[in-house]
Amino acid sequence: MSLFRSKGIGIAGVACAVPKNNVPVERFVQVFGEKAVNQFSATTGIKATYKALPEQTASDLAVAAAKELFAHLPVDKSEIGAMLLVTQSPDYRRPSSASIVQLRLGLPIDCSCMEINLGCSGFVYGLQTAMSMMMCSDYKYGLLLMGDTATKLVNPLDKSIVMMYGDAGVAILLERNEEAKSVSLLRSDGNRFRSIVLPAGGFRDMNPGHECFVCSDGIERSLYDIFMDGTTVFSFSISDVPDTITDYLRLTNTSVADYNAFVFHQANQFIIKQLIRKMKLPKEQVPLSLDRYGNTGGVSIPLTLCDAYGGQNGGKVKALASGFGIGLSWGVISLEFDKDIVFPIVETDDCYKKGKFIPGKY
Amino acid sequence: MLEKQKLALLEETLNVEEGSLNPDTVLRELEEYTSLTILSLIVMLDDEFGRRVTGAEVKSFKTVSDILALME
Repeated sequence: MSLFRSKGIGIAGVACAVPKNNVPVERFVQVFGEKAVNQFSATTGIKATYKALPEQTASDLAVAAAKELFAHLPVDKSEIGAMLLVTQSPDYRRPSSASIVQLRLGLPIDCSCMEINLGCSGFVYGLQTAMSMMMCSDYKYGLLLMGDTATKLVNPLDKSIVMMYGDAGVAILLERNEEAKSVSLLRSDGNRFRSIVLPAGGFRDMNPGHECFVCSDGIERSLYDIFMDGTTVFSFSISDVPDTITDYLRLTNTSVADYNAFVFHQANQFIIKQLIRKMKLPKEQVPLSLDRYGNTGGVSIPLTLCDAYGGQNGGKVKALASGFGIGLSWGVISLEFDKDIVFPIVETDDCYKKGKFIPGKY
Repeated sequence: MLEKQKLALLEETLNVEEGSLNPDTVLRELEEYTSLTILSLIVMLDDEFGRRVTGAEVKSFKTVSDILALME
């Protein structure tokens, strides 16, 4: 049983950045027709997303979020002992983008840095990993960064997901806090790895052709496009996820009444409605951001926090968060924080131009 | 649950007229059998019968009888 109990590590700040490029779903009417676009919005609840520019990467978004965080909370960077970057959109095949982010944020050599390759479950896994590392050491601050640009990996004619994904980055500062406590329950099922997959470009099939073919859902894609078996993923989201939350409540001896916010991965509105119904959650305690930001993968939980509480004064939030998706991988974690350490979402078109390698120039 | 009751539940789930389905009804020919009502069907099979269907299973449904077989 992967139940983790953390003590003494609290959330000191959350900041989020999205690209400036806002894409309302109406823009797809010309491609898919009004009926299909309206039906998509009615089911998913998504009305617009933010898409990164071609030269803008996930690490750029994570760095923008971290800079926003440090603008609000000027910490001594020499006291940051670990920086974790959760992303599935790295700048290069290698090294991990954690190295680039370390450089750009001016983190010291004494700061341990690494990347975690997870998608929609990334916040829950990433937060647990960051807290666990801190509990084994004595540095003052830990930094959890996340970023993804899934919009770049979708076939432009894939009506099942092209309107769904949004890009975003987030930065979360962790600090020692004697009163802080958190419990997480993490799960994974490799049996269902095929249900969300981008087959090409890894080392199993490095350079296959780019031609499109018809997938099992009738939609044309190439091996370089994200494929999602929507039915299996939906079934997973409305069964394994509430089961895990139920197990979590039992194992922690808590109930729905012990939390005042339930923050779900913003997969789609229909799924979140089913979770509210199944778990008998108070609807007003389930914040939504997907209508304006779409499905931003693992970033979607902290993004929803910034959207719901950013710029608000005071008040304690005792949240239960659940991320679930690609892997399949999912988990539940509890977190407590004051609303005033959650900052409003910023927009950015910043990108690291020096990161581009020019043939013959290196 | 009697077959009549199962059909009524399925009609409600798929949002089709009462009494319009029979075991031989071909799903593909139903205008209401869309990606949206398929999601409702997945919810119903899970809620009412504890059946967790995969994408491949849903794809294999040809007629109403294929769904009735899971409503046990």
